[in-house]
Amino acid sequence: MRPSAPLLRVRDLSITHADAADPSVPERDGPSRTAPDGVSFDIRPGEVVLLLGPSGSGKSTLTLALNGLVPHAVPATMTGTVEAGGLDTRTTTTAQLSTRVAMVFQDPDAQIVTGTVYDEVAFGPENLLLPLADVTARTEDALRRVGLWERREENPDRLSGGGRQRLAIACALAMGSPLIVLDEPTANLDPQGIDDVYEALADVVAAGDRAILLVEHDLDAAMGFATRTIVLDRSGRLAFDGPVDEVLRRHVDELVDMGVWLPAATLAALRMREAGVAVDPLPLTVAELREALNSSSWPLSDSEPAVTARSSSERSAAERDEPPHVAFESSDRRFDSVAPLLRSTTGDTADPIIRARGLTVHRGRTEILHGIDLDIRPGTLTAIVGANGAGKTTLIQALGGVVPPPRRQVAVDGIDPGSASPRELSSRIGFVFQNPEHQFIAHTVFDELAHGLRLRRTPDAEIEARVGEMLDRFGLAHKAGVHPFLLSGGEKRRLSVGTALISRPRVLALDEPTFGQDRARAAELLDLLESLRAEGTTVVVVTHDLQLVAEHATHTVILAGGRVHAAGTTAELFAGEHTFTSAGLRLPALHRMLAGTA
Amino acid sequence: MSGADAASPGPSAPAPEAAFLPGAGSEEHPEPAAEMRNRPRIAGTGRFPTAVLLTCAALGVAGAILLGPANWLSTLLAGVPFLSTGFAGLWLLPSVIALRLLRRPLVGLLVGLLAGLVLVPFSGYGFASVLTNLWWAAFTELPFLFVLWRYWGAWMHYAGAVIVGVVYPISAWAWFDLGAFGLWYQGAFFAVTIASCVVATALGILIADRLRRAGVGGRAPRG
Amino acid sequence: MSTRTIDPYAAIAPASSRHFLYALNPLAKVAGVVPAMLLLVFVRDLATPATFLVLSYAVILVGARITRRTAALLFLGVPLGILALGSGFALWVDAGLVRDSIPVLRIGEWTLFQGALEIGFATALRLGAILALALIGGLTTTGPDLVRASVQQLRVPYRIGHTALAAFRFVPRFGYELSVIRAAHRVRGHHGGRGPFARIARGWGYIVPLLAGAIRHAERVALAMDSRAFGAHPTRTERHLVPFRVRDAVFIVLCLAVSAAIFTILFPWQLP
Ligand SMILES: Nc1ncnc2c1ncn2[C@@H]1O[C@H](COP(=O)(O)OP(=O)(O)OP(=O)(O)O)[C@@H](O)[C@H]1O
Ligand SMILES: Nc1ncnc2c1ncn2[C@@H]1O[C@H](COP(=O)(O)OP(=O)(O)OP(=O)(O)O)[C@@H](O)[C@H]1O
Ligand SMILES: [Mg+2]
Ligand SMILES: [Mg+2]
Repeated sequence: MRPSAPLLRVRDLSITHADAADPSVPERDGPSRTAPDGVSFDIRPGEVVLLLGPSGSGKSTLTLALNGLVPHAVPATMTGTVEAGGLDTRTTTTAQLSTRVAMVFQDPDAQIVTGTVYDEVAFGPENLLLPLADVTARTEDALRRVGLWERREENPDRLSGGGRQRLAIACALAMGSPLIVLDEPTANLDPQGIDDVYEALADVVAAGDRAILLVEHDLDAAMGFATRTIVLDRSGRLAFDGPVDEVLRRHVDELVDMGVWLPAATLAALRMREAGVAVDPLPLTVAELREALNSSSWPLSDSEPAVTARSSSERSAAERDEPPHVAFESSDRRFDSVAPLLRSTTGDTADPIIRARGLTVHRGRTEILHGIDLDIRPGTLTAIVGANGAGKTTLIQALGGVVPPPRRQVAVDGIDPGSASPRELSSRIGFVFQNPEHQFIAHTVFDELAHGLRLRRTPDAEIEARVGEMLDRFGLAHKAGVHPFLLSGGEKRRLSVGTALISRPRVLALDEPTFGQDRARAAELLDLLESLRAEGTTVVVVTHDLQLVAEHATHTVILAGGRVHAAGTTAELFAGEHTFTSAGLRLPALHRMLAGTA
Repeated sequence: MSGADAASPGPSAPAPEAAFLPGAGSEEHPEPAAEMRNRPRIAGTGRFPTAVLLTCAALGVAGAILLGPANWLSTLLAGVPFLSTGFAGLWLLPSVIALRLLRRPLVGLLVGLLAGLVLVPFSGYGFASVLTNLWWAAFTELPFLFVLWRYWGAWMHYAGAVIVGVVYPISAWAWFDLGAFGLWYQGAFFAVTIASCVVATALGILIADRLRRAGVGGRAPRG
Repeated sequence: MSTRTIDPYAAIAPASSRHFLYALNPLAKVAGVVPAMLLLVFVRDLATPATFLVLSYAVILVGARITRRTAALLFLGVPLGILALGSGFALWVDAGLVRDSIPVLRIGEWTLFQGALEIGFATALRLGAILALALIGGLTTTGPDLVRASVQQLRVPYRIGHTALAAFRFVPRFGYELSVIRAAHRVRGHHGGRGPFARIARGWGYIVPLLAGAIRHAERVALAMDSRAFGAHPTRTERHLVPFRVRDAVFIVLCLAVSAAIFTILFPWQLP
């Protein structure tokens, strides 16, 4: 192939999903919307293209069209053309296109089809009917590249999340396709997992004969890696296309308006700009930000610290509550403008509403939690963080009585989740599962919300009123009669929170509430949680997103290896980086910079 | 008595089904015309989209999880009349759900086959459970074979249930040595089998409809 | 069910040379015993099923590795089952057919005849023998190997075969999803009652979410498989060969010969 010949040619591509779920509701994210809409671009060898756009702009849909899954396997109407390696996707099957475009999907579990790591990678080449020698050669090469060769005999289920995602990349490599498309490959991975994935990818593009198209929300990880970015706007049209730094710097205001997320350093610089500090050129990485700060000659006066303009996601809570404490000890006052990200809260005086003493949890024969001692006070928002497999889910499920813990080790709002009846439990603790679909019981949104009240024999009129109020609050009023499974991802998440809240529990526990949400949605949800907290609800969340923890949580619990590694107010913990690194975590880029280690 | 029972639904079933062919529109209407056109009629397996195959796999596994305990229960209870045949309908359930949900030829048989394969290590009958499952699944598919899978009315599922409810006791005659038992036992055997098959079919239809309402399966890509 | 802990892909433990059953083609193990299983349905005596039962046990004990689980199945499960079935059937045999035989037990009006016991136990023994024959293959073959053999020898389309392989992978996933849904419903206080009816109502509530989740997962896996050239060609490179060798033919022929010999010698059917 000539080096200049495009690996991919997309012309005027528009796609409308053929889901006739409820075409009468013209909602922003409603079904049968055309996204992407009239998109054209080329991808050439050696390029690493970052595809950006707000949620629902059609990024995932676009990736599906690149190897013919749209229109062959996913029911959707498509106009325009996609040519991959010279083949028209409309007339070529996905199976044949797989030698031109390889895919890595977001959910690594849903990509595993065989029983061992080796078989998994060999699956593709075998389907291509390659000679046995080629199959083994390609498999070995791909496995070595992602560092899984030593583990080839293992069952993929036993790999960590990052390991499985690397396995998916190895499978894509083994297809021998010059273009690899990845749809959010690092969601829900801990820092080690993210590093693993990007290391494998960097290795792939190093040779220069392959290209990568990457959809990614975590821009900080992708920034040093991508060479070009394509931005879709809210309606799915192509907004910008060009080198990453150029697009981000030149169109930053449009991108912010659009709701596209930006690197943390860029966001910080924007806040400073709003505060009247010129940072030029706009930094994209933490290193650039530091450099900009060091070289900038901005007005510094001790009597008048830089005012902070905060994004909407932070504002709500901060303003309702006590004034933000700037607990961060920086040697340089100039950093104060970003420091309010790190807030602390008082309130450590009240009696704990959740108390665990020597909590030990077994699953099967393995002991997963080893004697956890924990106090959570009322009216706090506590985040539980930790690396993959640290025991976060196990802990929150034990606290919430989802999996009853041993008796007399946990007390929540005066009851023991180890022995309480489900009804008692559900009136004290609202629990929101990682996958909202798991907890839906009823067949309409209304009944779903009413369920908790009916259990308590609330009069119909009151049910009507309270459910109506909840529907309004969550922007679901027009969906009252819809089946919960037919909602969009963000709506499902809000509904599951609503069902947990409707019986007005004093404790709300959420497992990975931001999973599968884009950051705008995550921020929206966290605003809600903060307002609940301000009303007196005690909120406990499990999450991977430390930036979010820094911005919203009053207290943080770090788990490592089934033990409490550290616990305290968020501000205290974020002051020292070592607490996090020794638990296999990494502070958000910005905090690392502030701590002077990035 | 049992002979007459056996004869009436069996041979008479094809007649009304065939009669329905031209007038099948009423039940077909919910299906958009395009969708009907795109569907393979008597599909070669090559024309099964992967999503449909794997949906069948999921249903087959679900069926096996249901049939595993049912299988042991009915083995243990085989000495007690009716209780064991009372479970017979469960063997129809996975295939009925698949046919009703996916509305494609041969998915009922495929689900039965897969449920049987998954059962092999757990059922204690070894490979015989594959044959057993295929046998039951065949009857869920049978009525649709008569209309070449062009008409998907709910009553066709019940026709299959009644047929198998009659055929099973007859074929099990030798297996259970029914000839050696009293007449009322034999009669009750028929009644219980038919009732169980019909109830299970109704359950299957209910579950499949609920799944459709939940936006699952009915959307499986077309050919 | 205990499916969660069972790895369908775990290879059956390496067989010593004595354990010849593991080295046979799965299809041979099916083909060898199926004729006898079918014929057994139509016998009425005690000797024929008993012979087959003993023979199958001998083959299994010699040719298969006996774990604690299989031992329990063979020496507790099957005998107890036959006992329970036999006595159960004996109770329901039409008294008119066996009135001439010796009464064994009399409770009030009701009499248990020896003939009834014979018929009952013949039926139970027959089912036991059929089961034992099936166990020859069932205990010594993994599902995936049976699927591979079907693809390689019976020319079953490989897309169907791989659907079956995918099904084996869904088994542990179902266990996991079920436990999560159970916990979620519990937390929401759904059908919290005790007793069999509450339990059935609870189980019913799990079905739709469980199936919906499983089908969604299946659809996603299908996309991943399509993207990796699944179905690109009518056949695919096979790395796991499940060959059909001379020994398989020998096994089938031996099985058939022995079955034929038993049926001829014991001839369990009265000629008209
Ligand atoms: N299977 C489907 N059926 C119907 N509509 C769909 C389907 N999948 C996506 N859509 C709709 O198509 C549009 C584009 O969705 P897509 O998933 O491509 O967005 P995205 O840019 O990837 O968003 P996100 O960042 O949240 O992943 C959305 O409006 C979505 O609701
Ligand atoms: N049912 C189970 N049986 C055996 N081990 C289990 C079970 N559930 C979880 N584990 C193990 O317990 C450990 C903690 O699991 P847990 O799900 O609590 O981790 P986590 O911190 O939530 O991880 P992640 O970030 O990946 O969600 C893991 O090593 C996991 O493999
Ligand atoms: Mg997406
Ligand atoms: Mg977890």
